[in-house]
Amino acid sequence: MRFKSIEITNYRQYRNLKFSFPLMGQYDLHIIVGRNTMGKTNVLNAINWCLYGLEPHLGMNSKILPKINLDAKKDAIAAGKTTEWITVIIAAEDDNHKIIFERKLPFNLAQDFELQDQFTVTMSQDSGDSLIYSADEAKSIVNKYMPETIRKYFYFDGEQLNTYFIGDQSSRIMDSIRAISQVDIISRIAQRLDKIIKKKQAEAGLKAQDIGSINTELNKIEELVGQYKRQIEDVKTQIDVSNKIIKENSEYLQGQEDVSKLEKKFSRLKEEHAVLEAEEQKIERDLLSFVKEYKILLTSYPFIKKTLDIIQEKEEQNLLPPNIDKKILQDILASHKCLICNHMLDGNDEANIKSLLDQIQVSSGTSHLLIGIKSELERAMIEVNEYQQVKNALLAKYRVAQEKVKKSETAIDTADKELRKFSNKEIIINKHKERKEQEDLLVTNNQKLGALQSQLDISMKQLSALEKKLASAMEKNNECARINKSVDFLKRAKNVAVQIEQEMMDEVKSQMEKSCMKYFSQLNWRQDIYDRIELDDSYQLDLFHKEGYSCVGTCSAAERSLLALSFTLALQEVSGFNALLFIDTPVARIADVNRTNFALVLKEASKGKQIILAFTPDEYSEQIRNVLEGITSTSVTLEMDEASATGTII
Amino acid sequence: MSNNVKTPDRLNYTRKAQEIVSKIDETKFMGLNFPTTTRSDLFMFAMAFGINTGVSTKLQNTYPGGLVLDSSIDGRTKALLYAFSIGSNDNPDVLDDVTSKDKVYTAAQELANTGFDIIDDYMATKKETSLLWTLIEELDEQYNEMMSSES
Repeated sequence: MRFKSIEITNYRQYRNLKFSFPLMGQYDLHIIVGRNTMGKTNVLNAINWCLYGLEPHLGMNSKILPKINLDAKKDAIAAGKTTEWITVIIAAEDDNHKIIFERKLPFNLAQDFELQDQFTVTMSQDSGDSLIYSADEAKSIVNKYMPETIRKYFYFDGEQLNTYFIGDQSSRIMDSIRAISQVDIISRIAQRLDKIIKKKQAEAGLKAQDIGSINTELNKIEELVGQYKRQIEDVKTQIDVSNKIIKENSEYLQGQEDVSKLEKKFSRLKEEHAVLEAEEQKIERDLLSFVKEYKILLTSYPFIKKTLDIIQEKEEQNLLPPNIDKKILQDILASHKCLICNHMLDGNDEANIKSLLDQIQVSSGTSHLLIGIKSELERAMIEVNEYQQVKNALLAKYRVAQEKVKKSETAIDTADKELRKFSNKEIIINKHKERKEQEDLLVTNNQKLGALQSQLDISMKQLSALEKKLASAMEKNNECARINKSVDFLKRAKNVAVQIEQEMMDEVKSQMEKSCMKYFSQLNWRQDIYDRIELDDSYQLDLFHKEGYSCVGTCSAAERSLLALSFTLALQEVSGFNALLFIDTPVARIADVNRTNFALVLKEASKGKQIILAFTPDEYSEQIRNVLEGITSTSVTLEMDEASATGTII
Repeated sequence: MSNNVKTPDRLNYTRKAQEIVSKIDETKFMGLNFPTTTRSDLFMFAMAFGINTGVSTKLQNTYPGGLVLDSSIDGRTKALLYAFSIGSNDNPDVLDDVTSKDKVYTAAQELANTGFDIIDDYMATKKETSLLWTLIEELDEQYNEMMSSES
């Protein structure tokens, strides 16, 4: 790609500036001459701002100023505008395709600040139509032709050339070489392959099946199925045996009395008899109690009756209980004085007390005794009167119990006689017992068979599911194997890419070393003292003296500038990256014969590459002019409009 | 009534009667053993036999400790003991005398003493079942006599 023109409007000291870079003849070399402060460096800044939105070569004074041209700002305000535009347009071409890079920045005059800039790239198509790209797409196009990361190798500030190999620049150089030499295409292929490998490995990992654990589970279920089947066979055999025994015993017992039932009946009768006997004995005990109680009661009856009659008589005579204690009266008579008031008794008193004593026949104590026993005796009388009733009830119960016992004994005798008729009683009982046991066993085994069959069905289903799972797992593992095969292929391809990348980088490095040394030898007036240039693995440049020692740190600033220029020219030559070269003040630190060398080298380089050189008048010395004048495609001089301090082209 | 007479606090029996009672407990004869039959009821049962015979046997060689303590004699037994004493007496005007506890207990003990001998004889000579029916027959006779005398 080469620049056809640069058009700068209202940017820094430029109101309206346009550079055209037509190719005239075989040398695509363009000269811009201008004194210091004429704006050479700002041309470089304008290019960087247009392409990248950056102004990397701005002086300290300019940094505090807005981008807008101050005259343009003044005029716009005077004209009553609210906004003025700052514009840089670079027209370029690549294989007959026109490319226009345009960055516009609106400046708010009222508020005095810059608004958001707008960047577009317009590209002509084979069809003749043009497409306009903006934002990331526009950036992407810029990076395709002049990657931002290596812009320093396209747009040089000659005054800073000598610092190129000072400090840690190696990683940037390495990346730049990788990008310029287009080895990074291979790197990206290798990285892409690596990503695909990882993706495929992840895919294989997902598909990879643990067949071992499925097999273990399968074996377990198979073993279980085997166990169930064996158990079912055993149970079936037992069922067959039970059926056979039941059949044989039933045939034997056909027509035979049911001895077992008789035995049971006999046992039951015995048990019932024991209960009845116990009942009879209980009634006998009740009878004994009855006899004991009524022996006492009936024997006592005459006395009870007589006592109750006496009590009744005394009560009827109102003698129970007595109003006066008979004992006290007797004591008063014996002592001849009242024991209550100590009054001595006279004959009349004693006669009255004797008369009172005759009337009182029962003492207080006896009276209370009679009253106390009365209720007990009355209850006893009631019981005596109930004798017949109680006795009859008891005897009736006793007779019923005796009858039951008798009947029970008869039934036992009958059962016993029936049992005695059987001579093979034991065999019949055993056959019965055995048949019953087998019938019970048959029920149990049939239940067991059902349960086992059910478990077998479940296990068979599990087995079937596991077999399917295993088949699927094996299929997936086959797929996994196929993926792994492709992963192996991809790894080999990646290794090839990495190898190619390395070989390319080695080749580039080797060519870089040779080419760099070639340019440096052409540029440098002290050709005999340097032996070679070497680049280490990280592309750190080193210059070796003929004596064999490293001397990049000790050579002059001019030599370092030439070295940087040589490195850049070599880089572009070796990488085949076809971008223009813009060098501001290219020989600022180079004098005399080296300037001639410099001019000669760039002249040769401009045969296949667009080179724009911005000189100060001092730089554009006779030595330079002798080489370049007459062969350059364009040559312009920047002059300052003193009144407006605006740069223009002459 | 003498003030020197000590009021009894239990029903006594002889050593011989004590042996009979032991034998009853041992053989459970007629269910008269303790605790199937209380000692009060056993005493009254023996006394009933004594009354039936009309013979009182004085206590000789009394068993120390007695048969039943006063505190263990229930109200009904006491009532029957006093009723026997009152009912045996033909003179209702001497009730204070016949209700003397000492006299009541002494008379009862002597009758029971006779009764224990009879029980001992039954134990030696009669089977329980036959004695049961014999006694029932006796009870029937007693009852019938009682009813006829009532009417």
